[in-house]
Amino acid sequence: MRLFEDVFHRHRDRTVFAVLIAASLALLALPEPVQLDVARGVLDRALLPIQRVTTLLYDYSDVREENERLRRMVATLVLERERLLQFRDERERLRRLAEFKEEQTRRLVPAEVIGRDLDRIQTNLIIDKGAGDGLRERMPVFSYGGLAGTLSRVFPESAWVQLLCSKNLPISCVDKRSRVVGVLEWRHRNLFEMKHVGGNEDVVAGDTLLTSGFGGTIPKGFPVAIVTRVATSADGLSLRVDAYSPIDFLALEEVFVMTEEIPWERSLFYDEADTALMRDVILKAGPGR
Amino acid sequence: MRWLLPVLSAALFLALQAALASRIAIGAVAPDFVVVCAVLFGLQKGPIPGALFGFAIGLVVDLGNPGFLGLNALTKTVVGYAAGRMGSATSPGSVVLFVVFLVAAFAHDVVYYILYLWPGVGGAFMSIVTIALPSALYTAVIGIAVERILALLGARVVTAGGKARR
Repeated sequence: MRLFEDVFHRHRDRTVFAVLIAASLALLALPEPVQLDVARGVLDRALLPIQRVTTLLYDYSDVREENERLRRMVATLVLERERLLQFRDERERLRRLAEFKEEQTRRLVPAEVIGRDLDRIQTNLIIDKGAGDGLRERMPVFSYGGLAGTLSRVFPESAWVQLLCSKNLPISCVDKRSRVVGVLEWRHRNLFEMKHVGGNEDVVAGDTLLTSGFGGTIPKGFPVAIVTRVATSADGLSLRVDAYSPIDFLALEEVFVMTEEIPWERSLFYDEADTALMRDVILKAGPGR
Repeated sequence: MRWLLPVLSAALFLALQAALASRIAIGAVAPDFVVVCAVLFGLQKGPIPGALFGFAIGLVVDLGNPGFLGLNALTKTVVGYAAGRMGSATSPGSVVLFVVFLVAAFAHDVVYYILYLWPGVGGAFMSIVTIALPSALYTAVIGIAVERILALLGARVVTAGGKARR
């Protein structure tokens, strides 16, 4: 005991340093579910209010510019929507005539990014929708470019999105053209590698990789990445398939969480609130203005 | 009340990291305000407080990426401790301080990328060359700017060796 005291007094800084390094390594060695549990409770209570304030501050400067952009987008969408509504009615009439069964679609819940993790590689986003909006863990999250990640933790009023650009979120994918299946793993920034592809499989640069639906968590057929390079491994038994995601993970501001299946006719496209809003926009943009 | 200043400065730099770092990033190259904070604290207070502060602030950052809980605690402990050792050895001028920030940020990122991307050494090497190196330069510039602002506000960046730099 005395020896330890002597060593500690003589090398106090090194001892503290060694203890802290050992503590860090011990934390790193914990199983992932335990690590998640430790962080889960602390973060939602402590950091979320701070993140909300900082995000509010820094969003304020973007509001004018974004308003302008959104107004232009709404004007285009109003016209396009009118055309689509006509197509919908026509399609429904034809489907009823042909006696097709009712088609299902998925509901997309739009969510705003209100925070990010502070880590060097940003692999998590915080969004402003949570369990109260029908979100549950492992639901897929999309951006305009395709699959962006999955919900890793869901709180009553917020949720954490684990982005595809993280090491522990491999995605089962299928080549849109040749239907070759593999597992997409993140490598660097928005670059990925599709693994487990046999040496004689048909994958070429430019192919689109879609979600395969295997595992049942992420639905089938949504774009994930585009193949950039294909090379045969040294033993010729497998292919090295490099791909990139068109999503800029660092710049995501809004995402869409895919929730339960609903009848096609009841999708967001037909939401009454949307219809009222559109009517309002059309009236305001009428001939008198 | 001795803990109040470290807590407040940690909160300030974490807020800067959350609100500003991605805003002023050039692509994936972003400054690391948390490293700047750990270095300044280590230089001022010495190796033990520097290592403890680095560990604590790293742990807070880790809460945001709990799949790798302990990784930032480890890297920032090293940064805080090393800065503390350097602080007790020298009273840095601007050029030396710039090099200290540069080396600290680069060493931090090298350890970080290797551990995070292990066993993918190729990806880690690519990230170190294309992101860590320019980010370290960026962090060093920001570090000097922060130190200058602190000096203008009258705060003395005192080294643990007892020498003061105005």
